[in-house]
Amino acid sequence: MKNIRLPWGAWYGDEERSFELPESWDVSLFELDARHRVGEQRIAEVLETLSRDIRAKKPSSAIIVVDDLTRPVQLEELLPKIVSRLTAAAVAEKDIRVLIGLGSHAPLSDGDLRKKLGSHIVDRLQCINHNPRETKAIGMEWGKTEIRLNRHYLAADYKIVISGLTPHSFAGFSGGAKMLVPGIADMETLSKTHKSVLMGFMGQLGTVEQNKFRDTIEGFVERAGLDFFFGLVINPDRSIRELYGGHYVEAHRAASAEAARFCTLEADGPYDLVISSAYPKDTELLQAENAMIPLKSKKEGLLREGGTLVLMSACSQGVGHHGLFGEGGKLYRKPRPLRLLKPYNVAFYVENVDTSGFATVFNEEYFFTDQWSSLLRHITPQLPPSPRVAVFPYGSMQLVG
Amino acid sequence: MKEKILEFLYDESLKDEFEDLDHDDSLLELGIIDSVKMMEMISFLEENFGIEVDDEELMPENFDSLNAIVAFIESKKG
Repeated sequence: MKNIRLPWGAWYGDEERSFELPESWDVSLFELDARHRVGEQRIAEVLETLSRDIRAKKPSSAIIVVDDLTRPVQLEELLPKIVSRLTAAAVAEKDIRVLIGLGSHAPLSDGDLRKKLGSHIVDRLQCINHNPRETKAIGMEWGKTEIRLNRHYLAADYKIVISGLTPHSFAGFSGGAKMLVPGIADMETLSKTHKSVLMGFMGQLGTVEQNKFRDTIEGFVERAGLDFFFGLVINPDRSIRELYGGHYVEAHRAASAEAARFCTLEADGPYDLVISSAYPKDTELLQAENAMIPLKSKKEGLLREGGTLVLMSACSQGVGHHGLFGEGGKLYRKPRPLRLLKPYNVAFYVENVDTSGFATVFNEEYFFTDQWSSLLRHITPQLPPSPRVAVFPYGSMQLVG
Repeated sequence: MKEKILEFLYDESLKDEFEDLDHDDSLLELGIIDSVKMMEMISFLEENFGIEVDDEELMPENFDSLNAIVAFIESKKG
């Protein structure tokens, strides 16, 4: 047998796991080069741009919107530097809030906040989980839906958004205006956003230009106001690879272009078997669909028709929570087989989830297990004796060109 | 008009959903439409009811229930 070593359990354990594959399998492991880190000089340049903007606007209060643990960027080092720029411009710490742009995900516990933001921030600033019921109208409508955003955000003098950029099924890349719509919107706006995408009216993976979804939400953000955006291109280990800052459209476009360069790879398919891990978005089953990003980005030619797809996730938090798509949510429905996966044999390797939990997110006809030997026994008969195998250790952020 | 649209949408695997369908129910929430079915439905409506759907009219409130679809077609026909 041969071993593949994969990172496992982002935010919750962060270990490297070894998985055995038969010696006769022809395995290609698609890595991402995570050695590069943003330099101190670049950070200082972006922060100086922020300082100039703050000095010019002279705000008396500020809010900083960040993403949650389903989004893999660690802010412990960067956030205090941003706060110090605000305090240096005479914004008191008591007037600076951190708002977690949850959308309708589960609120972060104190422990989760410390993982994401660091104790220095959690102990000094008021950190608020977005509540879709605490919103205010921004004075715009989307069809018949009144757009409402978090009232604490709207009340702040100076508005900062920080987000990592990873490939996103409909926003092209995450971050930017999406941090506000749907990130800090009310349930009606959240529902409208997701319905528009699910009905196929807008949205595209890996593309922010000419993306109708992004164009639409940027119109709302223009009205609501956003003073400074930090776009973070991230490494799979959640460290910051590159940093962009400034206007929320320009900085997001620049960060997206860099993220696309970093996340896109060539894979000489078709393969008999594709193994893709949701890491570093492997916190919950509701995010496991992110492991399909390589296949979504190359629907033809990556995996042969009749081939086998193995999706993996640590699911450290089990099934997880989503106010719209989770069980009991407005857009929840009993899972059916996914159209994208119809040409393939599909198997899941997921931990911390039982049969009933699995069936609330994925169709129960899909094979799933938390035993690697059981998975191998299940998929081996589907494969030729020496199958070509592609392994994506960071499937949630790997686009295939 | 409703019967014709229902006939187009009908899917045997969703028999129960169709039996209990209220004409104001969300077709998306019931799993009756998804992005592919929606695009097929737009073509179907254009071909069968003599309308043209503009890009800016592609919104859930126009297509998410049988009653909404009928109201939309009627508004287009003036």
